[in-house]
Amino acid sequence: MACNSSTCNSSGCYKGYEEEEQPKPNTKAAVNGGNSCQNLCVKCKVNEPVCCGIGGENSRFCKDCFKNNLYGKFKQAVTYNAMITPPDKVLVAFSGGPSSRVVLQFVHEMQYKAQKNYDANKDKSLPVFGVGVAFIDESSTHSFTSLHIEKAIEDIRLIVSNLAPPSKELFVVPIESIFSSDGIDGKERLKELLDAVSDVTGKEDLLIRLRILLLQKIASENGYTRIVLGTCTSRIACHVISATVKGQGYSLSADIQYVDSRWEIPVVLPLRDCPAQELNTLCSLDGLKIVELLNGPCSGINGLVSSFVKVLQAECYV
Amino acid sequence: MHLTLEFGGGLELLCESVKIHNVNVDLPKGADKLSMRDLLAWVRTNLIKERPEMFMKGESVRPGVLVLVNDCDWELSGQLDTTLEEKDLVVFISTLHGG
Repeated sequence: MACNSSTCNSSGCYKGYEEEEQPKPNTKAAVNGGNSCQNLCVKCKVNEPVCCGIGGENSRFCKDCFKNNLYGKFKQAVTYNAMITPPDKVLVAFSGGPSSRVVLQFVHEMQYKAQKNYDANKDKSLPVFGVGVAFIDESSTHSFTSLHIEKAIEDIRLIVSNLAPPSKELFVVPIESIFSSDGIDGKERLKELLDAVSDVTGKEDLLIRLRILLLQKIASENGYTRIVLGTCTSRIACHVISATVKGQGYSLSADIQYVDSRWEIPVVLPLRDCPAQELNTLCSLDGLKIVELLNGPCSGINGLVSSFVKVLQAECYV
Repeated sequence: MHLTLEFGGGLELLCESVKIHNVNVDLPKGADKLSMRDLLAWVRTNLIKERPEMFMKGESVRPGVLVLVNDCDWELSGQLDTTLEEKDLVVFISTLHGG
């Protein structure tokens, strides 16, 4: 059913797991001592706001409208750029972090709805697109304990198995399988390759490249037609600056498109219009489990640029 | 005042990798309320074991750190002036790491 708000502009409201009739009177807004009681959610104008979108004053949403808004941006990106069509099989790259968790959730929501429509329709002409999930195990390049990585993989399996029906195939692939040979040999070759790069930034960028190559390999070997990344606005902003700094201007414009068709399997970015803080807020509000394997702050150019972009954002509000 | 504090997005690495902390914070001398400003100072002194500049900048959190008080963005409740109550849940999430 349509959202009641006349300013609703998302192409198809996100209903969530239960189809709710009306936005429920909000239960948990914490307005201790503040004077925001007279403020209402900018969209439904019924509930008290609990989240700030990136627009500051103009984007105070209640939980439901916040979710709708975010899902709306995702759906719009997918529709306008024909990212996912019925005959497609999409591979969602899941790192365990908040952005990829949200894109996985939203892709699942879309698939679930498509499945329901398909089941309800007598005319079964449009198939439901397939979804697979890929997690790249980079433990051979980090110093995590094997217990740590095993627990992380177990958590990921659980997350993916709970996103059913429709069920999704999960690929847990070690980064060293980028080399055709497997096992110890692959690990050694990877170590040699990374050791040949002396600077931190170079190593990070090389790993990013290897990741996408491996995703291409998995997708192509298993019949997937699209790779979905959770790349968000914030990451795009950082990339614009860091690519400029590194002299990668030639490829920059193609790097930040909604659809990157330079690859054999096109790579799509449906969260391109969603800033990181909104994705993080959604994970927190909706209890979307995140699996974090963090190695501490990045000390190279990429980390510096990320901090810089945050400072710029913070200063925007002043 | 008893509060629950959660750290995510990598901030837990600054608190000896503990994500959830159940703490008891004393009100500052002569004050009858505890503000987020007071809490942040308390956290920096008592919970942050390394690299405090990754968590705080001046008297507020470092840019890129999301703060939710009882599932509500602190921008909406007055940021540093937000007053806290018994058993409140404060969540700090660093958005510097992508995902």
